[in-house]
Amino acid sequence: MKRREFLTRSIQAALAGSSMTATLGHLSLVNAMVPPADDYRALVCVFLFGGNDSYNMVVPSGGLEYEAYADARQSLAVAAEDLVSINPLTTAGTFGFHPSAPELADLFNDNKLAVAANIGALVEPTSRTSFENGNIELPQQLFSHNDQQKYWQSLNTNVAKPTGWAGRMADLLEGSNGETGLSMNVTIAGSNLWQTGSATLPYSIGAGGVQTLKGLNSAASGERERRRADAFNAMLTSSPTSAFGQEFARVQQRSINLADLIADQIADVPPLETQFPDGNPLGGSLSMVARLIAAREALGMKRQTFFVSLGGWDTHSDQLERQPILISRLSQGLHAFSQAMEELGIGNEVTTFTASDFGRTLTSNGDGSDHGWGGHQLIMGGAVNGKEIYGNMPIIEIEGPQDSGRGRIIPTTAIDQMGATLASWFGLGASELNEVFPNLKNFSIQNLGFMR
Amino acid sequence: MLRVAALFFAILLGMTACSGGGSGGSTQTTAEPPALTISETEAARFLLRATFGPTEESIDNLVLLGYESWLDEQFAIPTTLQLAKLTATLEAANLEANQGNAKRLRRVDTWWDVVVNGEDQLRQRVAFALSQIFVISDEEAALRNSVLGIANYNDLLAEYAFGNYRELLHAVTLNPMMGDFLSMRRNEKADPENNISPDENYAREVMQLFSIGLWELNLDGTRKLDEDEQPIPTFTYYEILEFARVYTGWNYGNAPRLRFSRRNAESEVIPMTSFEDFHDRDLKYLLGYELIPAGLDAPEDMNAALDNIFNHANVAPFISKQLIQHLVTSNPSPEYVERITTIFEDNGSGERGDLKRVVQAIFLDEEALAAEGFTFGKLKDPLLKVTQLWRAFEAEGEFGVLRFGDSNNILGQRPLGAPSVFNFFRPDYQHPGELQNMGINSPAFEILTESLITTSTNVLADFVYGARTRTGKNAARHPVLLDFTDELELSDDPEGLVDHVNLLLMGGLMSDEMKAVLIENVTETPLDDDGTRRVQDAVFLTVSSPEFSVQR
Repeated sequence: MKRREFLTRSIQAALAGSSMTATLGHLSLVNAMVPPADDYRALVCVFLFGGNDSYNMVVPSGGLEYEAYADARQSLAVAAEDLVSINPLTTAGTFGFHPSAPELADLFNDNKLAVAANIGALVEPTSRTSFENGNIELPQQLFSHNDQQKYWQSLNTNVAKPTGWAGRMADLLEGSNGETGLSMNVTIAGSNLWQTGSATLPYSIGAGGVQTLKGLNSAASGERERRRADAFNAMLTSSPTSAFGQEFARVQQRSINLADLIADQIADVPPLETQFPDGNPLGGSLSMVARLIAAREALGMKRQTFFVSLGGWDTHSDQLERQPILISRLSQGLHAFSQAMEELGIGNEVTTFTASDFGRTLTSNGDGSDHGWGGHQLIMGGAVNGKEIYGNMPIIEIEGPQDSGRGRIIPTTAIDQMGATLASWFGLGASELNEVFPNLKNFSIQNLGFMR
Repeated sequence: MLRVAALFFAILLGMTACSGGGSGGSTQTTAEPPALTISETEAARFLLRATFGPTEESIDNLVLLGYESWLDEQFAIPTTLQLAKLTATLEAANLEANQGNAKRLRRVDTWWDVVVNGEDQLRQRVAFALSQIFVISDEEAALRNSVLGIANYNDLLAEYAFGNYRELLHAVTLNPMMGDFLSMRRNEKADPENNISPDENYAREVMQLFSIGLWELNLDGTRKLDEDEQPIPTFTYYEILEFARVYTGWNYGNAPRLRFSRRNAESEVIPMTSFEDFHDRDLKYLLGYELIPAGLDAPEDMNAALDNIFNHANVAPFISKQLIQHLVTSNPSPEYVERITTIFEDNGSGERGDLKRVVQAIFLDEEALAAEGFTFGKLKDPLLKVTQLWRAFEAEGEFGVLRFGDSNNILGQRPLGAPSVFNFFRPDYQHPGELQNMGINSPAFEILTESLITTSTNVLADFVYGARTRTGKNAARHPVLLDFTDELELSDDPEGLVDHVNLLLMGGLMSDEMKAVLIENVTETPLDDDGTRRVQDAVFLTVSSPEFSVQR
């Protein structure tokens, strides 16, 4: 492997590309905490639970680079001829997406999708030498699923009450939204740390929509139902006998308070023409997000985050059978969502990005890969400077300069940097960014440039 | 039979009983009486923890036996095996090979049947706790169609629930479902030429989740801290690499060779077997730099490695604390944990890992029996709310089958169907807001979302009111009928009815305020039917209440 040559090629696209103008561009957003009336922005996090082997999702296809990739990955390698070609505007080299992601390649080549390369959990810039010497601060429990999921979502887990970075954003921006009581942060994938702040809890909605309580309408025509509803409500507000019961009552009350409103508003949204793929759990979740976004004005929302997920990426075995199905779901789901946003006429106001526990080992364990570290992520939307790869494509080399062992590639760009780039677009000013992204100050580039 | 009558009958038989609902005053005894020191409410409360829900009969039995004899009786009851039941069910149903969903439903039916109707209540309840520590799940593609294997895995947990932890760990490790779930099956020694290293999956999770956890612990379950007040990791990924090499060379017990994936029903249920050509026989460094020499075969290496893990100081607090959390309270005091840990380390006869003694000590601990404080107890597993309701009122499912196969969508929980090896929720989850501010663990709150709390309440209503939900032999859920015969007899006595429901469903812990709400509701409901409306509303309001959601 000609490391020097490869290094030269993988100079930071962020610097070569449009990052400077983008950085200047959002200076205007500093202190613009109260958005104008027609202003709306949403961030959608698609969390790929289990740890996506993203080095097989975005693959270098040039001769030498592909050879190095195939050499490292052996039986896990995607065949060169199967890759779906993508054409970055400025990043040197040629690349392809996994064959199960033709829709993503279309989005990329259409300027609607960018790749953030080799992103991962870092407290400060980390090299193989500093990693091996142990003289840098590292996130706790690298390579452990739940710890790294939490780290991705929080970026500061070593505290008594961890919060997530979307939660911290909401703590700062909640005033942007109307007064329905609906949280800025809505999850279609249950509890999560990402959307939990000091003063913010995510509101959870099922992919099938909001359910309202049956037979408990205190304004029902039937006397029996009214009586029952009164008793039910009286129990919710009676003096608690246990901390857990008290909290249970709070959750039930929150569910009740918003269920009717949201159910009504969703019901009023005309059906979308965009068809979400059947039998694709991600498609189902994103379809619900699309409906909620369609109801944004009725719900009084100016700033929103959504958390959706797709599980099953922990491909320790049968990776060659399992990962293509997952990538295909991701590709088709994101594509449909992109179409839906355009149909709603707010493609530029909604930005979607992927996240995952970690990348995976380049080396095979026979028929799969193990827990790794850095990995590629996707950013999609009309406000994305698409058709580009940001950050550094990793040096694919076992025991190479970025290998922490078995091809667990040390990230070259921190999650904080990717998050801050998104948050900046979302409306945070410079000082807020450092508040929300605790490690950002340790990195010289604070905006990767992938947002307009 | 009504409780009063049952007790009267018991007294006629020459046994003794204390006055119903009393606070434990014992009465006189005849020839060979069991010590009678507990009240009905104490008994019901104990059964909320130790079983899938109190029944009139089980309350009487516990009152008569006392805690210790009741535990001994339960320890002696043989396991109700799911595998045998499921095999018979599948034979009778005569499904086609491609009816995977119908088979999965029947696997879950078997679980409901056993936990609701089985006599081995304590064993199954402990197995349920173990199934949330030693997690496998048919959400994982590799296990999707392994219904027999999963039923058998549950049987394994139930069989070892009162056995030794070291033997349980061994059985779990060699179980083919675990082999598939955490990909130890067909794990091969390294092939450096092709950049292939052993699979690290089982090596990591067996330590992180099934035995020692990530951080060094004190005997009382709290984290040890280094001189900088930082927690101390139990292992690094260098140890993972070593352990990954231990778990090489295993395949289904009836496989002819390692690289062979075809299987049959037997493959799912018999322990895996080793193929030495694929086992890494080099020396390995384990926890604490313990060395196992080169040249050992796969079973020898396995035993050395599991011994190494078993003897780690974390095992006792890590496992003991989680069992307490699943069975009794999410926030045991360090003293409670340490008392159990001590027994885990030595049962009094020099045995380490005696789960029977551990379970016994967990339930009989003074802190468990005192059950005091605003933060004592736990949010119930949603599945346990349903089992409680069904057991209390002898639920009958349509077609004679209790079926709740889509409980993951409704309750956020399905037996042996967690989203990943990290279970439905983590034992140290702290629900943001008041609970986190108090600094207390609230594990089941991780799945108590605004959407699931409402779907759960609605499904409880369906069960109580006997809703005719969509049905069919392969439907995800069957309508159930609850037997309210005893309750209907009390329908003209609002206070009596509420007291009865309070005992049966809430161990007598209902607050006066809640009681008053229910009594008012019952009283104001006109008694112009056989009392069904009064009973249904009282039961539904109870099971949907904040107070019922907590096991105290």
